[in-house]
Amino acid sequence: MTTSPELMPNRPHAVQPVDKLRKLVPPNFRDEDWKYTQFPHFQQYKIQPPSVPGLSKGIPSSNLPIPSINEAWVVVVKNGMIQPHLSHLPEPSSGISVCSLPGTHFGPSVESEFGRGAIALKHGHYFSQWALEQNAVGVLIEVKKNVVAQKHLMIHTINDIPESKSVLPCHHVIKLGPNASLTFSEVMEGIGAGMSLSLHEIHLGVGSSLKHNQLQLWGNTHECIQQVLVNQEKESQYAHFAYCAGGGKVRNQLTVSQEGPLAHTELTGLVLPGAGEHIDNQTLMRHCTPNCSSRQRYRALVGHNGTSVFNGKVFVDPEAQKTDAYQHHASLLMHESAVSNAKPELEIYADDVKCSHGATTGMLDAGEIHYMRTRGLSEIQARMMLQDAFVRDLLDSLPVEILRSWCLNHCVDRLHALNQSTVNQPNNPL
Amino acid sequence: MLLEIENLKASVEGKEILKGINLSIPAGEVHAIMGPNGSGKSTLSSIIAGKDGYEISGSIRFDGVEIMDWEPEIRSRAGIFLAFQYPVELPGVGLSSFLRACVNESRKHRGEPELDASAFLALMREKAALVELSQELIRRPVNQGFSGGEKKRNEIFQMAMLDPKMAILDETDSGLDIDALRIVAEGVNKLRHAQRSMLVITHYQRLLEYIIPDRVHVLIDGAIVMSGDRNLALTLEEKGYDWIRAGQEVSS
Ligand SMILES: Nc1ncnc2c1ncn2[C@@H]1O[C@H](COP(=O)(O)OP(=O)(O)OP(=O)(O)O)[C@@H](O)[C@H]1O
Ligand SMILES: [Mg+2]
Repeated sequence: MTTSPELMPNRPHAVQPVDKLRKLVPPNFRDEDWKYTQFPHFQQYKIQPPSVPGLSKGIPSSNLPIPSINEAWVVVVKNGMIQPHLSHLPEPSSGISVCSLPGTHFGPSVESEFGRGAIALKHGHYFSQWALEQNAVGVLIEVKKNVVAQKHLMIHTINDIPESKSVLPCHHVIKLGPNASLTFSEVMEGIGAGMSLSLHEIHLGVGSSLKHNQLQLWGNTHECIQQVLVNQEKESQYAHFAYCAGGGKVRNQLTVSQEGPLAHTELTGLVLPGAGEHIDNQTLMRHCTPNCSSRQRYRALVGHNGTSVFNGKVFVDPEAQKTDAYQHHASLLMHESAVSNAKPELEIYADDVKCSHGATTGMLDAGEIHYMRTRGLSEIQARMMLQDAFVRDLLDSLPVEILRSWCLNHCVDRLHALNQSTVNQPNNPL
Repeated sequence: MLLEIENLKASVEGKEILKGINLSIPAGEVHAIMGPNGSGKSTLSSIIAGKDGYEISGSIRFDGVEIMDWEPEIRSRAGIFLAFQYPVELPGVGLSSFLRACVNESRKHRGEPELDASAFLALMREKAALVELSQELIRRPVNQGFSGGEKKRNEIFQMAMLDPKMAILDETDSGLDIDALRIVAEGVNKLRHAQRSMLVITHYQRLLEYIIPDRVHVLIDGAIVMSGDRNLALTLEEKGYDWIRAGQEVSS
């Protein structure tokens, strides 16, 4: 591992969780949770230094759903560093602060809960701990008590990591005070064959509400390892929407702990791996207290030679009576070479709970296509319409209009491309 | 002749299901097919609509043109409509957007301009009223969660929307309650005209009291063994099929 210390910002508060880290080894195929997705050469990766603020000339992609500054606060983060000259940050009067992590606002409250990667340590994720050990840069977002954000907050992440086997570690912290409310979206671009590695630690105070949307628009050779850790206090609401439109090898871990009663969680994901792409989503929904609910809906539309992995864990502690947990995963394979591995895992230790789960995997139904053709649609029209219906239903629950309509269009383009590359394959179903 | 079927044979995995069907339906006429379960009625209608998966020989001419090689969508756009015995659910596909695409494909095929949103909506209202299909069902995905009877009604609604020259109704009456049967049958009657032919498959004489056929054919074991006028349906209702089978044995 090589690093350039002069480019690493000074981070006095980060005490390294070295002791714990020593015990962790990089996961391998013997590890059930990492069976389908491995990064065997990770220890040989070089560290990509973060960008220096102010040097980034402009935003490369203009065809992204970036709202105007009237509608949203938009923060551009290039290779881990906020680019203030390209950003429109929340005004101090808004009750919301966005700053670099580590930075001057890195106050004691955050330090006590996150500074040491407390949540990450608890969950023992090798890559997150490694990122912490590297003093990973990132963004700290705080919403003060009782503040209901007047605008949507967006982070436009641009990770430009041209070389393969190089990694950019980032660490973001999002903290909502009691009864605060925020819609927070991330448009994540990954350019080049390197790896974006990030840890998000999210803490939701009593009665707070966070709508968190992620558009992962990684290039088809880009690698990504992401862990999102969420702690929910009493009566808080967390809604996560993931649009995973590609990536060479992507591993997302989303872990939510409901630590106070009457918390509610919605996890939604739409995954579109195309040719040679591999997207792995793991969720862990932990119900620790009574009267909480969660709802997970994931769908994967897999092109030829694409792979989708989903592993959804739901843990219900003995105290968590009256838990209402739902999980559903569906995958639609567009070609015989498309792969989907989906596994629900429920561990329920309370007796008065309502937990349901389901999973379906398959290709489009020949009977449905035939029926549509007898009404005058061509085979390709019928396929597109069924695929469109498959994704649209999920996209409807993306709460930000500009993102929803952009994703719909993006999906339709992707579907055309996936169908096209499927048609060009031998054994194509057309 | 609008539809002419000649010596149509079909088999699946070596099993012969249709054993040389001859059937001609002039423009504007309504013909009924009756026959015991498993005699091949649905197979015949599926093959007219272009379903693959059978080994087929013989000829099907539509408007004088051989259509055996046509894809199902081309047959549909040319004016052949099949109301399925078991309509298929299309998860998440909204009925109105589905039908709009279908109607516009047919119009393109006929060289007519596509309908704009408001013209299409008006057409949908008019045709939904014909079979008293509720607006609530129109907003739902195609057949998803529809009751058996609602699905059948929806098939006739789609037929009305697509305005075919040749409509094949495969047991549209089964699953309909008494009132629904009357409503759907009246809807079908309103769609009768001199240029539109229909082939109505049914087990029950009752439907044919509403939709009065010009001809009734009896299909047994993959062949049309008897044809007659509407009175044949009454005789079948009374006597069943055994007397015909017995007659066949005597004559052979
Ligand atoms: N794909 C198939 N594979 C094997 N057998 C088939 C297939 N399709 C139809 N058959 C058989 O062909 C025969 C005729 O079936 P068909 O559905 O046409 O009957 P039907 O006259 O419509 O019967 P019903 O009145 O019960 O609707 C049946 O014995 C059926 O099992
Ligand atoms: Mg039948």
